[in-house]
Amino acid sequence: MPARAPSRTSAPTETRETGETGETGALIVFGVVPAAGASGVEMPDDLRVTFVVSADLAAAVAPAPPSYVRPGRAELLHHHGVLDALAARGATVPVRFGTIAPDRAGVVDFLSEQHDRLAATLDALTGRRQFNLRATYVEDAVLADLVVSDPEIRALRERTRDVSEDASYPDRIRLGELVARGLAARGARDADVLLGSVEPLVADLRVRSEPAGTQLLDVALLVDDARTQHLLDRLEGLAEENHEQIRLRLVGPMAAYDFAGDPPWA
Amino acid sequence: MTVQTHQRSGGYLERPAPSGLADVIDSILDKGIVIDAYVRVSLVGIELLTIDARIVIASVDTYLRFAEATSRLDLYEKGGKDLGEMVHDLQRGGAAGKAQGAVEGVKRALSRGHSDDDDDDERERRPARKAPSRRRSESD
Repeated sequence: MPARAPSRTSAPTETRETGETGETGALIVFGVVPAAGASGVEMPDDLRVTFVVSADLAAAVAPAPPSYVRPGRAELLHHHGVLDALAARGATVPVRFGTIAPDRAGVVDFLSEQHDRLAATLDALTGRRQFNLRATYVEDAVLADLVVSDPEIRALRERTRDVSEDASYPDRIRLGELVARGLAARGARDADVLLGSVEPLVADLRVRSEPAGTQLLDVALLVDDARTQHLLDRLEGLAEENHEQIRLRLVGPMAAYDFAGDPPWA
Repeated sequence: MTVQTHQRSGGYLERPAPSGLADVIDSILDKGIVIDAYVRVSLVGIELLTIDARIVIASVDTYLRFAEATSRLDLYEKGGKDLGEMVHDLQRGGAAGKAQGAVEGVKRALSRGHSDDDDDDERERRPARKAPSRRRSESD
């Protein structure tokens, strides 16, 4: 078992002892936190990690077992659990799942070579956490509105109803195309309104995926801890007032997976 | 697989349990910083599943699905009116008719409780600068 042995008083300027992990063992890298925050961190028992410290930064790592060559569900949930626990304590730069450093020295090199960028990212994430927000139309409700509001959709719907599938094929394609376009146009408008209501309450916002089908919005929100309750209240209000047309779904808080910087690091 | 429970803590906003596999995959799989110098292993199976789930093709299949969904709508249940009545209401209402009213209704509702920032006109004019690609998909 790796020795965690974080000492509250030691100046975190050197790589900590690795215990029986061995100096050459490959390490799973979960994320980077301020070294001060890593000191004395209590992870849940089933989330054993150690910290590799360099200057004021610490990387959460664990020995990579042979089974990690083909990680599965358990490893994915473990990665998520570790980052959840870290992010609950403070700013955390998440490292992509499945990342393995060749050895402890490789982790120290990374922390020192990327020190400024890591420190700046941690600064930007301090006191903030990520939520993922999705908005999806209630399909029957929005389709009914499209039928009522668009004469061509309405006419095609009538025309294709009592005709054989083969005979109505071109009309059905046209009908579906009009519905898809109508949904996209309406989704763009409603998404703008939603964003306009949410944006003032968030520190940053990223689009996670494009609108598709009945989904009109999929964004990551970076939220100041102090404004989280305000955001939750507003979203609850929006969800209630629009529940016949739109479902809002909020996942989080979680580590800032979407706000840690896009380009590859070293 | 974990069965997800949707907590509706007194409300309409869905707050799924944080550790459900689907949400974990969706949240973290291709997220977080990439360190080029390191090896990355990947879970091939799950990754493929996720990509499949994310791909929505603007194709004949999609159109046929929408057409089918539109055709099977039971519009007679909507407020006790049949389609003819609804259309009649719409036409009688003119520009402020029911359908447009529905869209505006969403907008108004969405705008409510929205008091500590710019005014409505400002918001209407603002392009979706944070979501540039949504514009692209609109014109597809």
